[in-house]
Amino acid sequence: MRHEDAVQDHAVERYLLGEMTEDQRTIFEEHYFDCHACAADVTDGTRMMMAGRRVATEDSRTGNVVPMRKRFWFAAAAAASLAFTLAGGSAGYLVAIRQQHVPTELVRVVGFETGVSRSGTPTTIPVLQPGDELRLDIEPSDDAVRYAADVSCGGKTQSTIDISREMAADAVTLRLGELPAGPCELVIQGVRKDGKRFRITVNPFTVGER
Amino acid sequence: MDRFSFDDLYVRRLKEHDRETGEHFVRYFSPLLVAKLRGRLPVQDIEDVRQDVLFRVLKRLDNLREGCKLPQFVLGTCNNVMLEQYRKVRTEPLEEWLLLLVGDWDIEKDFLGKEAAAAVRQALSEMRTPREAEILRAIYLDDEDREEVCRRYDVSPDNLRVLLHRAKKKFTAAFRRQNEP
Repeated sequence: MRHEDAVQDHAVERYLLGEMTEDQRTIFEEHYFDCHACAADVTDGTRMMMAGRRVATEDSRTGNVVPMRKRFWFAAAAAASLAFTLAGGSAGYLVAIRQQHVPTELVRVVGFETGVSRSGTPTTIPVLQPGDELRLDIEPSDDAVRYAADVSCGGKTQSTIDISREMAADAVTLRLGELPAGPCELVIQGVRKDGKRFRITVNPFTVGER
Repeated sequence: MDRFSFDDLYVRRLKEHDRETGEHFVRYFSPLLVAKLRGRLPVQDIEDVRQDVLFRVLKRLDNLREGCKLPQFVLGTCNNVMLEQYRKVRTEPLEEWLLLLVGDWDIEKDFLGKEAAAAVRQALSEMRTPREAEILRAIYLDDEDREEVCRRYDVSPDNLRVLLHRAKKKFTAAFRRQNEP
């Protein structure tokens, strides 16, 4: 492999992304071990990927992830659990909305109830505003080593959040940031040991105009 | 790093336990071995294999006839050690100088230290949009197929490579700044 070919083919990026076949990897490895420019590039890229994995994993564990514009996840306080109890949901998955800047006051409860969201459309689709908070109680699954929460609007993913089992043991809060007005959905998925995902709940909601 | 070239003189210096050449050898090949092993072995095994490869190369330099073929010699040795790793073959005992030299480079310090983590965060914050940063986080987590990431974020594989390329440039610049005296 010539250096020019490696550059033109984005070989370093393809290598880091695991896009190469075993044969392609072998050919590229024979090149970069002997090419100072590619060696430096592979070194930097591998460092970024490994450190990036650790950073992303740590963030997902500690809840520091800022997955959407001006949105923040954080583990809910005990008061939130109380809110769910008050909402009448002891099992499954519920979402409560709280107004922006009123972190301890439950304003209203949205009717996302266990079973409804899995098998069909809820009778009432909540209308949310940017800045509202979604509080999630994730039904534990023995198959899941962790969970993922996807927010999508108009069929386009806006945000994906990694939630550890430890985090999911308590209620988790998502503060909505910039989302396009219109129909959206929040999908909670379990992630199996092999990385495969399975859906737990699908909850539609609407983002209202400001 | 670049002022060294792999030739007969370089190999002779290695054989003579020249410290500067030895340190260059470890600093140059360690990251390349980690890159090769990443994705093929569990992280906890990578460091063992890295050390084992460098130990063996340094002990078997007499088998290398042309100094310019040192990189391929390291690569070939790595392939052999990986095969043995799969079979869990034990390696021979080692002299102290080898342990000191090869143990001087540390995957935890060089690849996973606070400077690298800070550079990752810096690069993420410098991406054009939060969405780009989010895609990168998904790539870093490496929990799902790249195709799935592309589908979920509605980006092509080409765009994903370009995104990674830009992130790498930002990361490298930030990492260099972190390590400036």
